[in-house]
Amino acid sequence: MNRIRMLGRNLGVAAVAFALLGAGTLGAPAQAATNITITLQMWSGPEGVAMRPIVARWNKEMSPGTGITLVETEPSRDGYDALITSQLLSRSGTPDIVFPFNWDIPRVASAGTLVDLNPYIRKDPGAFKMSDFFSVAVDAANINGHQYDLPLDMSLPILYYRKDLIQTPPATWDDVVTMADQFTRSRNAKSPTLYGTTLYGRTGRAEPAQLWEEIYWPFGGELMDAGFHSTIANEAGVKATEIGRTLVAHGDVPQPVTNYEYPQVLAALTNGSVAFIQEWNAAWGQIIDKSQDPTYADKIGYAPIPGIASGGTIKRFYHVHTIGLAVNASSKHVAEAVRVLAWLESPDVAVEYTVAGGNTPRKSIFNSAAVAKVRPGFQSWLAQQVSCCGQLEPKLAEMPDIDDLIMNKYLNGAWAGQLQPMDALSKAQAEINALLKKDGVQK
Amino acid sequence: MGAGKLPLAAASPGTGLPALAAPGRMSRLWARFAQPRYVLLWPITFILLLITVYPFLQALRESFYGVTIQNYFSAPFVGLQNYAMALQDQAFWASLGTSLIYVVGSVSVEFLLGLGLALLVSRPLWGKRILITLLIAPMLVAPVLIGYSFLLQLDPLYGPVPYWIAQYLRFTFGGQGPLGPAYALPTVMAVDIWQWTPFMFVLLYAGLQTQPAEVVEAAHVDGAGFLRLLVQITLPLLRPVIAVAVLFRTVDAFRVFDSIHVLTDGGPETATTTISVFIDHTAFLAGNFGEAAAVSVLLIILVTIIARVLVRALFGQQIAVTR
Repeated sequence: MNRIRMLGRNLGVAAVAFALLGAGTLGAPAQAATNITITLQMWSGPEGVAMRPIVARWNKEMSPGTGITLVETEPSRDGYDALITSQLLSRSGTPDIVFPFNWDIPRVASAGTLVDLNPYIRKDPGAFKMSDFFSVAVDAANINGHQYDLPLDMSLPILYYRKDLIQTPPATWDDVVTMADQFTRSRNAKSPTLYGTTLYGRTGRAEPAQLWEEIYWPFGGELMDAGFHSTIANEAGVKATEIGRTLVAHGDVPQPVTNYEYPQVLAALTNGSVAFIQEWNAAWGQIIDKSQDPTYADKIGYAPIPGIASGGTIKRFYHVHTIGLAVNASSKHVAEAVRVLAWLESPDVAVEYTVAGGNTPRKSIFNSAAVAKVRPGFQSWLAQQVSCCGQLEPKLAEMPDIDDLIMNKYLNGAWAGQLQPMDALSKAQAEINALLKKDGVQK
Repeated sequence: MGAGKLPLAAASPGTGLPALAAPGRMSRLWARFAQPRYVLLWPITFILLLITVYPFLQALRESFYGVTIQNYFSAPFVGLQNYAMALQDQAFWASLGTSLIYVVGSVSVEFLLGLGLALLVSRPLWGKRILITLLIAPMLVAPVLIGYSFLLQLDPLYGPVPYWIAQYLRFTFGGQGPLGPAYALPTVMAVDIWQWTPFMFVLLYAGLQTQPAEVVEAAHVDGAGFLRLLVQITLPLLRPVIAVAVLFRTVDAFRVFDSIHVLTDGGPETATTTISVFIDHTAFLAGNFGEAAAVSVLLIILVTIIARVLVRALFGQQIAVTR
């Protein structure tokens, strides 16, 4: 009896202990049956900031009638891909709507973690107005006929330059090197800037490879052949790599380039350290915002990305990718999440998002007086550039591995002078082919 | 014997009544851990097991499957293939080499600096308490914040560190900056040393305070100088504390990830790709969770072996005496 009493007493103590612990860790009380919260995960940057007034608008205008409350989260850019991957694979159901890069779509979609939007689009085409999107942007997340996201932002690197210092921005990549020399103080004591330009070399990110493509493609190079064999170790690849290598060797770019990605590259221009940069179109909103760029907001212009002189014209290509909105297949409110997604991607909301700093690839944006007022000419100019010269990477699940690890490592090695360009590209090509062969992609 | 009844022993002397047998080992354990003071620990023990043992078992399981992001929910069993791939991967061995350099270099310097600081602060000093508080401040900050702080401080364009080094030491890092290819590994080690020397200092300082004063006085009376006192009295008496401090820091230095991820993410190229960074890249950039899990298990085995060696080397005398 004593032992039973002791056991009973101890179980009671344990129950109290668990209850005390549980009281601190249990979530909020269950919501009313008619009130559903949908979590939208953006990321820290101009896109997240641009989405805030949109979310506020939903909660003010749409929430009372739909019973859906929208909550936005903005995690850090660092480790963002890993975060989304972990969230989707955990099948926790949160967040309901994610904001993935198109290059992440093939592999997370293969795991069945994203909702195919096609059935919803077919059921209510008026809600989505797919014909208003740029087809290249929609195609970026269409895998084997399944539409896994709708593009919220379209990204392409363009040229930003100090129009108070440069009358004619560089039109070719050779012009880039010449002009970078001219605006680097260690090479030209009279240069008004410390460096000519920057080089996007951040370790573990795809940008070094993506910006390199804008030099490689005009030289006539292709990333892969029809059988998905890498074909970068060629004369075009060497010439493209030599541009970055020359900039580093001449001291035309701040070092180390492996620490430079979006914020650092943009800051180098907006604080007057460099004369021109190759940077994503999303930066334009920040550049012309005097509260963020008080000194140089009026002194920076944009221009087409440089290319190669060919037959009297400039042959150029833009690497294009999208960041879209996708629905988590484990969401507990898939239908509601799709409904919110459709509203967020609607033409009317897309205009407001673009005015706030986004870049939704809808044709109706370019006819919008509201957009023209804040960015006169910019959106229509972007549309022209994409239409003429935009190019996507192959839609392979291996692209993050290829760009973030393999190409990043070897391009940085070549730029730093530690590898000869052909050696670096040959090694990269061999590793890429080994990877694609191992995964059964190559035909 | 009836169910639930204890076996009967011989009658208790003088009573004629049968005596209960001595409680078995399980019963003694239950009686001990069923006391309220232990029962209150059950919830936190359960949670700790959940957040440490369960993930380890999950990683161990994944290491035997060909888990990638694409086939995460339908991965095939591959046996030891992930381990074989890792052991044949040059990048794995390179990252292990980088980790060894990082651990040996950082922990050695942290120990020497921590010991030096502890010896200095052990003397009578004005404002000692404030000094100690300032000295231990770095280790109170999350490593990821230390990483972001130094990312700004070390920037060649805006950072004060390269500026002051160029001004006063006339050293410009070859134009690459402190995080350039040739200097990245020593720089991230320096950041680690800056943050974790206080840990060594705290333990060694506490150890010095417990040293018997009469032993030190006797050594002085015998004419022992500072160096002889240090080598023959102080350090031997401090050995258990040194063992604990070095062991903890060694294990921690193998696991370092946050600050390196923020500062360089393993770059330039693979200059600062330690084993933890390699695991992160294998899992989330290459999308190969199976191989990453296998490398994690190999890391646990390696750190366990190193910890055992350290314990034997540093605690050897104590263990021999105890036995």
